[in-house]
This record gives sequence, structure tokens and C-alpha cells, in this order.
Amino acid sequence: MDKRVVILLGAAGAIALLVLFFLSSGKEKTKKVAKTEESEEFLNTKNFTGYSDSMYPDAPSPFANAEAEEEAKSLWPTAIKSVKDDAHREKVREEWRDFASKYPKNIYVLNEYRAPLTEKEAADRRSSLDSFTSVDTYFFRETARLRSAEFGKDPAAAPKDAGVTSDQQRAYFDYKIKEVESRIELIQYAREQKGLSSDQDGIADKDIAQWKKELEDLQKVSKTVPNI
Amino acid sequence: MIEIKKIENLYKGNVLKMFKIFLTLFALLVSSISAQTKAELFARPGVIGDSLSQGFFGVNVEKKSQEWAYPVIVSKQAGSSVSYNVLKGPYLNFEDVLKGDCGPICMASSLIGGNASTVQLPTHAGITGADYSNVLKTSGKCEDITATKQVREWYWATWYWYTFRWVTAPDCQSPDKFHQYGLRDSGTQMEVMEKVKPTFLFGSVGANHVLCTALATSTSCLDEPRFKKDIREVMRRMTAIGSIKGGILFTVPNVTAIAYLESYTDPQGRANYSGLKAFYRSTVSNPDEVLDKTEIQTITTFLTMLNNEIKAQAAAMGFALTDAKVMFDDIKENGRPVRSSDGYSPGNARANWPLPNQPGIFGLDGVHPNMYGHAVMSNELIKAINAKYNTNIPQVSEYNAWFNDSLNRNPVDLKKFLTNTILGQVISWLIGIFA
Repeated sequence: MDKRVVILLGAAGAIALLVLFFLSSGKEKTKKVAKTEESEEFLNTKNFTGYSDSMYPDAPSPFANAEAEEEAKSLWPTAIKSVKDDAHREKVREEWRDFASKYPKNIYVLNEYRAPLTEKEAADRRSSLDSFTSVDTYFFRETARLRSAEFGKDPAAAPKDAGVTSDQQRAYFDYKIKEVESRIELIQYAREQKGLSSDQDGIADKDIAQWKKELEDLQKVSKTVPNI
Repeated sequence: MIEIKKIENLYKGNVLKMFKIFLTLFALLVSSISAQTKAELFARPGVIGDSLSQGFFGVNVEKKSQEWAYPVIVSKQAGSSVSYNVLKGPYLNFEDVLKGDCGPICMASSLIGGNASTVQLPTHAGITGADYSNVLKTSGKCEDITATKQVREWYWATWYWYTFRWVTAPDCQSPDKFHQYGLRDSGTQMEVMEKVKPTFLFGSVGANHVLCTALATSTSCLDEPRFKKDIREVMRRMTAIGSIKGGILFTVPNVTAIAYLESYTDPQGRANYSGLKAFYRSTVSNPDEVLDKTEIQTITTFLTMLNNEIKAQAAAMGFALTDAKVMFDDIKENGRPVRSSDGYSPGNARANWPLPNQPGIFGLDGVHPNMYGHAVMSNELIKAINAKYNTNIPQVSEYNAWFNDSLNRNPVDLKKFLTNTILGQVISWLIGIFA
């Protein structure tokens, strides 16, 4: 055989060995990642074709292609697994009906579990939302400003101009009070239904103690809003 | 003569074959060098970040949204992975609530929050609400690890006199739940990176230095000296770690163009009552409730400064850079094509939350991307990384992301829910984190 051919073959062989080395070390890494993903079970992706109530009936399922299915399983495993079925939704509706009957004034209850709103009630709700968020944003802005105040320096005294009307402020406190009460009711309900995990029970105890203190402060200060 | 020619041809054919094999092997070698660069770069990716990196999604952090966040996706695409503490809230997944997938028990559980699983030392330390200042100062235990207070220290001044002196002691106030559950006892984001010693850094935490203006419709939270001081300190300490071979930063999109804000013209023509208002507001009764022209200009100027600094830091660190502002401006202007491999398209995605027959990149808060939006973001980062480091990280199929994104497939028109009493608190919660 020609010397050049021998040299060429030798060089190619060395390159091939190098390539094999790099490819095998790369493969190992990919495997590790794939392994963790594979260990999770996929309950409803075998014949997953998308959402039954989809508004895109013509959208072709990428799962016709095995690579795309693998990609989806690898990148968004929990999102795919958490697609809920009608039985689950019915159970949730039942839970809401039960909760709404026990706590009809709870602000977390959605409109669909309450009596339908009249046009005036709906308009009032929009106006309350406007008013609440306006005052709320004002306070967030002010506290953010105060937080960046110079260390050790006392904040300025309350300005003479309140910046909000007493009616607005009263409505603001009313909503805040209802919201904290509603939050506590939600947690109590979940506890009654044994819906919290053991680690959350400890957090819930601390949270509720803190919220009750917050509630007390809000109730106290709301009584000081003047009637002007 | 014919025999000689045959031998010559055979010889030529063999050489040609050998040459072809050599070329193929050479090509393989080049691609394997690129694979090696990728493997070296992504041997140990590390993440500092904010809600975008942690996977905050209208208005919650949980396992499924953490999985679709850009650092997790890009790392997986690069054949690597990041580890993090998995959250189960706070606060609540508004999409699930409005679609009837989450009832009062599920709501209570996510409202309290907690960890679904934990790791000893996360390599992904991105936390909702954080900016570069938080990266340096906020741990899972203390809101500000540098904060101090004066306390009495009692001691024997003489053998007969017990008294006190004032000494400076750490003032450790509990941080928010995102930091508590996200970082636990592993330190600040910066300290986590110093322990992890990453080879590749996802280093973008700039958005919350300016996003506050959109949510609070005010420019009072802008603080240029603090931003510059803290991003520079973060990058200085990153360099000092010594292990970082590469990384990526991205610019901050125009926060006045997000779906949370919409144009408003005062019916009475007052200039300071016109501009941009929050989407849920039906009226404007106070100039503080809009960003007027002057304020928008102030934000634009600040954003330019901020993005120039980010670009300068990326250049100084030798990092890849994605101009997310340009990308977002393009989506705002032209939309993002969504197309399957066989040509089907549900239409171009817009810079809004999805609406019926109108794909979108945002979640229901109008601030953060949905699952599809994160895939788009990931691809833009992958393109920048590949260009900078000559790697071949494959892009994500955006159609696949759209197809599997529950909010895009079954959109919720939030404006139909504005009379629900829960909404005030959802907005309050959102503003509280980011304003």
C-alpha cells in the first residue's frame, strides 16, 4: 500500500478514535438528563391529542412525531400531566358549592357560585375595583419610597393632605378586612377537609397568627377614619 | 496497458474514498469540538434571576411553571440541567382557578405555599421579585443580610459594676416567601453561585429595576446609582469565582409596552390624565393612575441606560447577549409566527395574553410569559449562545410549546372576570411583589 494511504488511514483512525471518545462522553451526559425525566410516569400522554374542548380542532398534534412527543415529555412533563378532565372539574365545582354555602361572603368565591349580578351591582364592583386598586397602589408607591429612605433617618410626619378621601379609605379598609377574613376562612376550610399537607400545617399556623394580627390592626385603624 | 489503467483507476477510487472518509471524519471532529465546547460550557450551569427565571406565572410559582422557565429549558436543550427548590405557591394559579381546575382547597394550599421538593444547594437561584440588589443582599432567611441594628450588650465594667454598651448586630428580618422557599438556608443568590462555582451563568436580573414603574404607574422607584452599583458588584464577584467559562445576559423589554398597560385618553383632554393605565381600570380619577407622556419618556431614558449597562457588562464578561427589547418590540409590532412542520398555523402570537383564536406570549397578569412565551424566549437565548460560542444547541419547537400550552389552547378572557371580588387581591398581590 502507498505510504500516503497508510498515513491517511492512520490519521483517519486517530480522528475516529477521538470522535468516538467525545461522542461517548457527550452521550453519557445526555443519558443522565434523560434518565431523570424517564423516571416520571406519564399518565395521559400515550394517546394525547390535545385539549378536548380545543378551539383549534385542525391543529395537528405534534405527537404524531415521536421526537416531538419526546421533546414535550422532556421539557414540560408536569404541564402535560396536569391537564384536568371533566371528572376533576365536577369535583372542584362541588367543592366550591360547599364552600360558598358555608362562607357566602368570602371574596375568593367566584361569581358563578353566587346569584347573578344586576347591571348596577356589576358597575359597582368595577368602581370598587378601581377605587381599591388606586388606594392600594398609592400605598405601595409610598412604602417603596420609604423603604429606600436614608438609614437611621426618621420618616417625614404624615402629610396634612390625606391624598385619599375618607370614603375611599373606608372602602379600602373594608375590602382589606374582608380579604384577610376570607383568606383565614379558606385555610380553615382546607384544614377541615384535610386538604393541607403536613408541612403546610405548620406554615398555616404561623400565617394565620400573623393575619389575625393584621386583621386586628386593620379593624382598629378603620374605626379612626373620620366621617367627612 | 488496460491492466495498468484499471489499477490506476482503482488506486484513484481508493484515494477518493479515503478522502471522503477523511472529510466526513473531519466534519464529525468539528461538530464534536463544538459538542465539547457545549459540554464544557454547560458542565455546571448556574442561574441568578427574578420571576422570569423562576417561572412566575399569573400569579404563582409551582412545579409546572418552574419547569418551563427559560434557564431550565435552555439547560436541558444543551444536554445539561439545573437543580432548584420546587415550590407549591404562593400565591394562586389564576388560570386554574378561572377554568375550574383549582377549588378552595387547592387555592388554600397554594396560598400558603411551601416546598414540593428541595435540594441541598440549588444551582438555579433565581427568585421572583428579585433585582441585582436582592442578589447581593436577600437570603432565604434574611431580607437584607447587611442590615444592622444597635443592641445592648451587657458586661462587667468593673468587678462591682454591671452595665451595657451599644453594639451593632445583624438585623435579620424574614424575607418574602419566594426567597424563603426558593433559597431556604443556602444564602443569597450571589452566595449560592459562589458555592456552586458555575461554568455557565444565566445572569439577568435587571427587569425589576424598571418594571416597578409599570405596575405602580409611577417613576419614583427608579434608582440608577443603586442599579449600576449592584450589577457591577454582582459581575465583579462572578468574575472572582473563577469557574465561569461563559454566560448570557438579556436586555429588558420596553415595560411600558406590556399587556398590563393600555392606552387611555382622558375624555376631558387633560394631558396628565392621559397616557397608559392598568388594564383592569375602567376610569382614571387621579394623575397617579396613569403614566403620562413625560413619565413614559423618563422610563424610556432609564431603560436605555439600563440596557446599555447590561450590554456593557455582557461584553466585559465575554457573555452572549440577547436583545430581548428588540425581540419584544418585534413581537409587539409583527407578532410571532406559530407554525407546525406541515404548515398549519393558528395565527401569529401577539404581545398579550392569548385570546380566542389569537395566540399570545403572556400569562394572565399581562407581565410574565406563559409556557409558549418561555419557549420563544429560550430560543432567542439559544440563538445568542450558539452564535457567541459556536455551539449547536437545538432550538425548541415553538409549535409544540404552543400546542401543549393550556392557556394558549383554551384562552381565558380576563376582562370578563373583572367583577369578581377576588380580582382586587390578585392585583394587590402582584403589585406588592413587583412595585
